[in-house]
Amino acid sequence: MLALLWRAVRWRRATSLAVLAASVVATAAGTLGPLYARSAEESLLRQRVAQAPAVQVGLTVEAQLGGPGRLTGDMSSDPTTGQVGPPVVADAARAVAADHRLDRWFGPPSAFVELDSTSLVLDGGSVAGLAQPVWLERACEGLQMDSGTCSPGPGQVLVSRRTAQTFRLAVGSQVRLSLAARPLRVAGVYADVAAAEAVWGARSPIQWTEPRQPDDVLKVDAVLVARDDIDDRTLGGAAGAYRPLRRDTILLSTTGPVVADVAAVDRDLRAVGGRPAGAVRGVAAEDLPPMTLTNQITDLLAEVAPQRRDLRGAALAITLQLVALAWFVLFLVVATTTEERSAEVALAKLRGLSLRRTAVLALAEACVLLLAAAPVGLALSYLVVSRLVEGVLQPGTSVTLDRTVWLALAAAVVGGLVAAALATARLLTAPVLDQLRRTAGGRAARLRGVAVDAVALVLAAEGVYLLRTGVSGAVALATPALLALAGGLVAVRVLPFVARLAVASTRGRPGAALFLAARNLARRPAGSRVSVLLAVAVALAVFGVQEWRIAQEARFDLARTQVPAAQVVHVAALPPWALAEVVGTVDPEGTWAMAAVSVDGTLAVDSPRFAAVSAWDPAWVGTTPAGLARVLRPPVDAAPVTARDTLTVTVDDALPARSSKTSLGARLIAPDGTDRVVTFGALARGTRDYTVRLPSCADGCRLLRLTLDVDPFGDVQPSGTVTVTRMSDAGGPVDAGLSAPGGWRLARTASLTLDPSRVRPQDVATSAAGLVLTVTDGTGPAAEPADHPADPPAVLGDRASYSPYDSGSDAPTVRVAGLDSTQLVVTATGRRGPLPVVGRAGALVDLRNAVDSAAERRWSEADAQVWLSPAAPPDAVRRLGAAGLSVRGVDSLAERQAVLDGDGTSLALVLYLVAAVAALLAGGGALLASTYLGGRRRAYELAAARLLGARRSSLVAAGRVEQLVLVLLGVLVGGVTGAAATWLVLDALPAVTGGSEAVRAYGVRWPLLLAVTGAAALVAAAFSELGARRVVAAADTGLLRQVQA
Amino acid sequence: MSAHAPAGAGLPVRVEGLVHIYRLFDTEVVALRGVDLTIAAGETVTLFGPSGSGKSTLLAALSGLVRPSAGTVRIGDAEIGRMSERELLRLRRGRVATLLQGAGRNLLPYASPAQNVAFAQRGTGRRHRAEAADELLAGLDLDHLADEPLAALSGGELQRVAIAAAVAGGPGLLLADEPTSQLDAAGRDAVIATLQRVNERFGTTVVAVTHDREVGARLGRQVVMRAGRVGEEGRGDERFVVVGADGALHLPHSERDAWPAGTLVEVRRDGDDLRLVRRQP
Repeated sequence: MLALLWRAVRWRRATSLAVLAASVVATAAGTLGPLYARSAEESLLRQRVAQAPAVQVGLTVEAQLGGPGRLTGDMSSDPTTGQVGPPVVADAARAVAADHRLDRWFGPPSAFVELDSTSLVLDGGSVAGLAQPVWLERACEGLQMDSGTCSPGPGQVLVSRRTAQTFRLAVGSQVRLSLAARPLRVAGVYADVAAAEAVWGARSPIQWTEPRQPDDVLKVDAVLVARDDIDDRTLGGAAGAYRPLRRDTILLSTTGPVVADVAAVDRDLRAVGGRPAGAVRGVAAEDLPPMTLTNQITDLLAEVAPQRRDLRGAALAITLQLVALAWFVLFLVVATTTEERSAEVALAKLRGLSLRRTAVLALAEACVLLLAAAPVGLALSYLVVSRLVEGVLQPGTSVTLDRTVWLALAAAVVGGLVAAALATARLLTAPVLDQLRRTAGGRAARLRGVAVDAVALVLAAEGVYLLRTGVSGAVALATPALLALAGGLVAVRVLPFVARLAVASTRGRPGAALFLAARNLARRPAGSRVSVLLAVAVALAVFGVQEWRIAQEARFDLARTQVPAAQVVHVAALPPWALAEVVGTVDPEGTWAMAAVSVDGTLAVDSPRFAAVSAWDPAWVGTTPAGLARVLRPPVDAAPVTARDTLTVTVDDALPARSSKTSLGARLIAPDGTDRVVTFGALARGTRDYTVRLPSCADGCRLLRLTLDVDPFGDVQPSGTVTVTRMSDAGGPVDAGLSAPGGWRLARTASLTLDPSRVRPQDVATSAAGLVLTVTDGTGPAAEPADHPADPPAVLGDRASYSPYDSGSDAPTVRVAGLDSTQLVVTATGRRGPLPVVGRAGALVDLRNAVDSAAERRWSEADAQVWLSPAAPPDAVRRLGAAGLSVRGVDSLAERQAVLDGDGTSLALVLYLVAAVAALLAGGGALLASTYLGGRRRAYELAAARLLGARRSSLVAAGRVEQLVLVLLGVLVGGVTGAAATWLVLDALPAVTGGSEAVRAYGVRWPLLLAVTGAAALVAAAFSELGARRVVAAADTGLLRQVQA
Repeated sequence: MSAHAPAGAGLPVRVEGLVHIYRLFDTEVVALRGVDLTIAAGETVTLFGPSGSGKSTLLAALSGLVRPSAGTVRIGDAEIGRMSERELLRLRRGRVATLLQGAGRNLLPYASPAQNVAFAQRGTGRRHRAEAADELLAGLDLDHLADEPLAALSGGELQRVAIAAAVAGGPGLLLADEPTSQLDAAGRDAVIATLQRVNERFGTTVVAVTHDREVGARLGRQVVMRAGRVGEEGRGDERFVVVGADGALHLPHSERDAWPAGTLVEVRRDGDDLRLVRRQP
């Protein structure tokens, strides 16, 4: 039997090869999805773990340190007795963290002690600022030294390069910290480096923070001290141990064990009250402060779980479609080749072979080829996924043949066997005479065909209904195949009717080609199955390419919204305009760097630089880059008022006599962007000059505000006016616009921002006499020059909801978060859309306007950023650091794009793209096989036609027309249904375009659609031409010597 | 005699009033109009007749490939019309063999003659087989071709191998459709000799449809069909018309011009014979 089978396979080489190829495609299709899905899940996990901050995935065992009485609760206790020294606490934490159960997942522990910040006193007695004393067990591994040693001994410290440069310290210099009675010698200077996760975890010695408020104190970078010197029991703080996660150990197969091990250690620690099992350095466990174990790996894995689920579901939906298509291809190929085998099967029946033996004869070749193809198909999909892993997934991701893959392979083989069995079923059930006479199936076969069509139509309709009513996920991704199948079946049912109409019109024409083609198409051509298959293949391809491309664009747009420049450098907070000034010194031309500050949903940008630097597209809010700058920072007529060194004002105090002190003050902004608040002192009745010195204003400070304050505790709260008639500085008169109409206005203080009913614009007015400030019942106004917009313009997110502000004007004004701790009144420009950084619920304002309009000017803890364009020099970040900015971190648009490219939906769509390519190849292969292998059936009738005198050229032309109609019909239906599916799925599967964060509406990409459909049509047409020529060439009249039964 | 006669024994055939009607597009075609035919076990019979006379349909009815619309067909004691598909399959498995027109249609093109014979024997139990495949081929003087590719065989050799495959199961009845078509004289002679050997060696009843008079002369009894009925028979050089079950008598074809349709004929008894006297117009 096997020998006979082998002979049969070799005898029908072309057929066997076609069946083998179709079988390889079927098994590859069935295993591609599961193989890729597992690797993609692994990649997703790896990416999340790799990008997770150290604090999220590292393991920390930590105890709080008490100052005097903190642990005992007795504030009067001797601070040197009853307390455990910080180093011992650190050792205890280290002992807990060193649990062997964690060795598989975490690196070696390193202990640390971080005390509360204390004054760093320089050798001359001056205070440099606040510094945090820190001891770290493995400091040398985490620091890059500028000079000196990395391991301070007793009485020695390490300072940062910035501290050393700012305060002119070097190795050998002396400083003092409160934790040591004697001076400490600088033993080493460490460079400003980012935290080394393996040693520091989330901690960083880089802590430099400039004072934002006038009464703030400078905080310098951490001072590293020796272990012996950190034993200060008067300061609070924390001591503990940190173990970094071995990120490459977190795989799909290890997520369970790592969570279990961490939970077990944590559980054991809690069971003993958070203390180690035994004494540490002679200190009993019960004397040690309680420790807590912190690790968020479980939370991280829980975050990833939904995306992993979605990925698996998507892979299943895609695999089902692809493997169904592959089975269809296999069915088609086997069905096409049954004509060759019909006589053998009839012979077997004639010989009286049982149904079982006849079925074996009919199916054996296909089964053997399918089984032989299984390992080849698996190898092919393994190869494809391996390439995808290299190109798309996280480095190091493995391709694993797990149980799911083997099950999928088995299912693909079984499905292929079923497809082959269905294709050969007619051979087994057809009457012997019909097989011998090659007559078509009867009414029963036609009814079966109608039933199949009806089922497909119902499934497609149900799929569309489910999509439109909100069911998404796997149903959504299965839509293209269902729609294309339904469309293809309807089209091939309609085609014969249309062809019949063409028969009449082509009957009388010269040349028989069109008539023959119309006749063949009218009688339900055997090639209709190829049309349906091409429709499904092209629809899958169109859909896959479209969705992938749209998702890619959406991810790029989303990335540009989240990281709106090539690089976004996060720096330690400064006064906002000071940040802009520093950036201005680094990039004077404004071509590659821009300051930005984000706080509580408000993003303030240096508008003139926006166009050159930002990658975010202002078209999303309906304007151009230059237009946006004009919108956010409209030109104002008035020039800024500046004064150098001193400021003298001539004031006519016309207030009635009072006991309440009335004083005039001024706020200015220095060239470095920091504020200067000065007071002219108490006013006296009558006209006098008042002069104040302006510190650090030798180059001119800009006048922001004049304030008139009345002592609220006075007996009489006066009402009346104070007029500023003249202003001058050290250089002479200052043109402050005191008499210019609209030159000054009421400044919006915090209270007026909160309660617009208290706004009295008339309290500030310019007149011929000068700037008139009206005091009402003891309340004096603040006045500002009109050198910036009163309520700065803002672009709001399209989902922003801000409370309106009645500013008394017609312009729509709302309150948004200001850069200080108060609200900022802005004028909504009417342009709305997804905003950079702050998203769809935020507000975008100009930085300078926001600074000028700030009510309180106590700057918030904001996210200070410097955006860098692609034109930034390679050492741009270093230049920013050298200019005095303390870099906290850098986000890159490319990295953000990579992160988004690695999410579940993106990875699923990559599979769809691969499936699209595979579908096109399968469709093309099936067309080729059908054309070549099915030609024999047509050859007889063409031979008869030639015998009757039909010319070869006419037959070729007829075949060409017929094939072109069939394949182009399939391609057209596929293109249309693929586009329709794209449109439907975009609505139903919002994750494709970013879900609720989608930047804009996305639609069908018509050029791409035309390109894919056009390419498919060209290839299909070429195959058809080859097939038509080949069939006619094989239509030799000698075929007719075979006498029919 | 049962349809399951032991190997080597021919099966008798009895056809009574066989009618077969089939539908062709919108027309009903009466292919057989009441065929009466009795073939003894081990007899060799040739069927003649013009195209459309029903020869191939009769052959198909005898092999159980078509169902009688009326009448009966008995192979041994088995009545074809009452048999299920399963029983018909069993019938064809070594009891009734069919040789299709065109040798290639009776053989697996990729298998050798020995493999073809073995394939044909696959469905048959050992006790029903005529002989082992190699013995069968040897018995029909085909052993030298056992392992040759079919493409290398002449037309006559191919047809003889087809016969061997057809009788591989030891059938009691062999139905052959145009066994000598497209063969030259030598090939024809070889095929006729093989058929005779099959009949002699295994006692197989042989019914062959042919246009070749030489086949008819050498195989013995000749039955001529006309218009769906048995019209004449020939035995050796003698020719007879056959009285049908309904008493109908068909004139020999050569006499039909003398007495065209509608001619009135008087039947007169003359002792044991009947005389036909044409009424003068």
